[in-house]
Amino acid sequence: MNGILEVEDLRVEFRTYRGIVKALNGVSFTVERGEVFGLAGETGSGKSVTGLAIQRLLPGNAAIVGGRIVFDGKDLLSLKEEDMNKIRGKEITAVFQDPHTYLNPVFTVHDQFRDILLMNDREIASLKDKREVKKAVDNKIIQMLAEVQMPAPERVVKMYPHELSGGMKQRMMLAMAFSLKPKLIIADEPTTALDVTIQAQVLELMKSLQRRYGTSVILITHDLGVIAETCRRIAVMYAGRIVEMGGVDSVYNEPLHPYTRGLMRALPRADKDMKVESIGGSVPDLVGLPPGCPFHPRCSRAMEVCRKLNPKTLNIDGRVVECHLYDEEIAKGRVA
Amino acid sequence: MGAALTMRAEKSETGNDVLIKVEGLRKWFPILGGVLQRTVGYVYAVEDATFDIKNAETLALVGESGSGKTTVGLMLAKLEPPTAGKIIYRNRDVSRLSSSETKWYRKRVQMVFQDPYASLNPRMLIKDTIMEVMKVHKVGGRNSYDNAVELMTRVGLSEEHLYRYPHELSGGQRQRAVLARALCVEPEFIILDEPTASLDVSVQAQVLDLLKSLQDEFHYTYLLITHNLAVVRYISDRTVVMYRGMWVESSPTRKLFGGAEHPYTRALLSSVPIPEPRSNVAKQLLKGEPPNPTERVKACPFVDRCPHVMPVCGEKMPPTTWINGSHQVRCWLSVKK
Amino acid sequence: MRELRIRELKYSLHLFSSNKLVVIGTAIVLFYVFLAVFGRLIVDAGEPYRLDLKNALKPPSSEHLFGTDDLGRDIMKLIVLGAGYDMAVSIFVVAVSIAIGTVLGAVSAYLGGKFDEVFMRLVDILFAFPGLLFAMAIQMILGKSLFNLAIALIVVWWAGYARLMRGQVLAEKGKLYVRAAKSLGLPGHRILFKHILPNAIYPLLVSATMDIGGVMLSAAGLSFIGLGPTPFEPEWGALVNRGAPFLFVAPWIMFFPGLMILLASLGFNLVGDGLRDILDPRLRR
Repeated sequence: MNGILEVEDLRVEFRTYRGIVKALNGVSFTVERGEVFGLAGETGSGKSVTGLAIQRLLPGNAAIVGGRIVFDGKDLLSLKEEDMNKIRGKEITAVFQDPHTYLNPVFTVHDQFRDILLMNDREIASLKDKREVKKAVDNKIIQMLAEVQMPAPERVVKMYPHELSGGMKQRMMLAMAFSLKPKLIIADEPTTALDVTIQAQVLELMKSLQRRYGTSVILITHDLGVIAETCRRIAVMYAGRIVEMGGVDSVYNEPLHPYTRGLMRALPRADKDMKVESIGGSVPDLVGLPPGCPFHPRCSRAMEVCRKLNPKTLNIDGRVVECHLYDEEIAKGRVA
Repeated sequence: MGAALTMRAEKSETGNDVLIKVEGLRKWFPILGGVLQRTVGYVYAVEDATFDIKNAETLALVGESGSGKTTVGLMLAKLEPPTAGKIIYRNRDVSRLSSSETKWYRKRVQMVFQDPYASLNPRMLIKDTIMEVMKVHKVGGRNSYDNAVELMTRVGLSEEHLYRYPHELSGGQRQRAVLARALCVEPEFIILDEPTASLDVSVQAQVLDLLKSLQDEFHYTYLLITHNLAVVRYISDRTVVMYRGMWVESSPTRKLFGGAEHPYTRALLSSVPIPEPRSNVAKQLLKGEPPNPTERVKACPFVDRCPHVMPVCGEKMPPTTWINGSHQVRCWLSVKK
Repeated sequence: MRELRIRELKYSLHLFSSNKLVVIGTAIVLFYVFLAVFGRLIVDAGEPYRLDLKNALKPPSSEHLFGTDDLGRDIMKLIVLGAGYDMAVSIFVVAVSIAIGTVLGAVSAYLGGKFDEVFMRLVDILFAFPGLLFAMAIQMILGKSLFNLAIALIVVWWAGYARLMRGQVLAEKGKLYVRAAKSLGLPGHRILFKHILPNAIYPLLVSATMDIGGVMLSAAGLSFIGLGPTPFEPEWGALVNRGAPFLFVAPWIMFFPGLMILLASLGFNLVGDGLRDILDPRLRR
């Protein structure tokens, strides 16, 4: 197993007034070293929860009730909080949609980086003289900003977050995320709030940084276009489960799961004229999910068995899918 | 069925096809500063918006942040007075209206805002929200409840949704409720500000199809304000591209996606992520950031970021070039041809 | 429709009861209200007039649970009777202040412009006066009585609500649903009273609940310095006042009424806190 991250049968529940919300119901996947892995889904799919669970940053009313998360050979769920803290921010870093969640409004750009560097950069830590340290920190920050193609870095370092544009803030975030050369970056909707032309710039930047440092990235988003352009593999999530997973080429060109097919067909396209077909119904209530496949009420190909039994996770020619339509494949012996 | 709401748009008075015409529309927001709150500068949100919308047509107003498209929508909805320019509705100059005239206007022109949750009063039931509007515009009378129910069905909701609060509805349901509210005054022209921005993919398609079918049945005219080019291609007939408060290109949508002339439009089109792996569309990455509208533009607004910039672009405002009868561009490159 | 209301109520109750402090606060407030309303039925209303100098300044005993004051009156009975005065004054002051303040503040914010500027300067001037002195001055003019005490407090208190309401209305005014209402053609006055006010007023209600405790303390303070009720109106502040000269001889005369004031205002504060959580529909779930 060469994966930098192995998630096995992860289950997460939230306690709410209305009852227990089963946010994740047995999620399993592997992320290879140096790979960009796409986690796609709509609201309620559990994609963001997965990202938080890996970092053990779930809110107070949530609990990981089952499964394993192995990162670089370490069992993350068994670590003490202090040990997990050492991994967060250094070996696993995160990039979010909303810069407000991580940028302190009273710190200049310079200050945001300074503390990270002082604590974690070994070169700087080895310097003794205070003035040398300051110079080293200043230079390193400018260098990092230049790497993310921040316009006018010398001016930007003195600015406060509210003076930066959305694109600049995300560049800053990428700089912070990549600065300590982590092994894994979890990016949750990193470009969703950006203008389309800026998004294109930031995605290109992310791709080049990723290639340069060989970092693995889990890209969580609902935007199937972004995943197609940046990821090697994709996992499609629905109601807390992965319903289909595989290489981006095969999943997009030949989607196996009816939900994946429905999504592809529901997307209007800027590059061609096509008839858009909406998926009827709406995302299920995660409190008290009925038995059977969670997608069956909306599935055009639902069968009797779909109402009763949860489909097993099937491995067909290297692709993963959870759907009763492929049960015969088991019989045919095509399934691993 | 209760007293039927007459949702058909009136035939325009002079037989002219154009419903609404916007000429040189401008909006500058004063920036106040200092102890005495003097005007220290302006946000030049819109410099020049000029376009026509024909009856039962959908015009898409496309742009990114700083383009001014939302402000144009607000001006057309009479929520912001224009600093300059004209708005002509059915051959009447409606740029400035008295309050009674405004009420007349509002019965015909409605706006659906970007955030359906924020545009609903959180403490009112949907039923009360809709029926209040009907009451103010004297629509429906004794049958207003039945009309409200009919409206709900028309937008794909049911009677029970009338008895919900906004926070009890899903995103797609809220968007439909907001649409129902806009429709209950029996408008002709609906301004849609990012109608699908906050929605899930599977719900987006439902709302888009709903908008399309409503237009087919009731001949609504739409102004679609968005940055989502896929949505533009799917439901709009014509497109106007705005950059930094000015229109830069205007064309029937079909033609625009095949042959955009303006460098900004081209860059915009190529930046859209396509859900097809290895589609080999070379992205034209623009350098720099979207514009800061606190400085006025004397020449082409795109001069800082244009990959084909020429000296004249920074000196004079490009003239309007007609590519053919329906396609206009404002760019010095097109003049050379 | 009805089941919707019931559902909402049940959830409100759940929110309310899940916070222990709030429950304690509510218990205190209910107890206090009970005393205020039924005090006269429990205790003989003539107690303040029953002088029994032989029994003056007696410490707490089985006969007089809280002791007696300098006129031999049972302090506990005085307290029970006094509850009604305090509640009446507090609620009266808060209610009238809110009524005046919210209307003026809301109108000022909605109209904006010069009117708003002028009005706010006026409010600022009012704030510049030290409240206590102002109340004293008013009492001097109007004469010493419990009612005038209430009037004096109203004059001081309404400005705070006006300012608060103005801020709230300004905040709501900028919100999208107000803009949407405007674009739908709803007339200005309707938007102000039917849309903005109900949304803006909830923080004020929370503040008001807590202010009941605050007014009580202020009233007690003013009574303490001699303004307000007569010796035969056992308002708690006045009782504390009576006990001042006897602090070292018979501390219980000050202590028990003072404790009651403290508890009552604490109770209202806690309830106000709980209300804040319940009343915002978006904080739910």
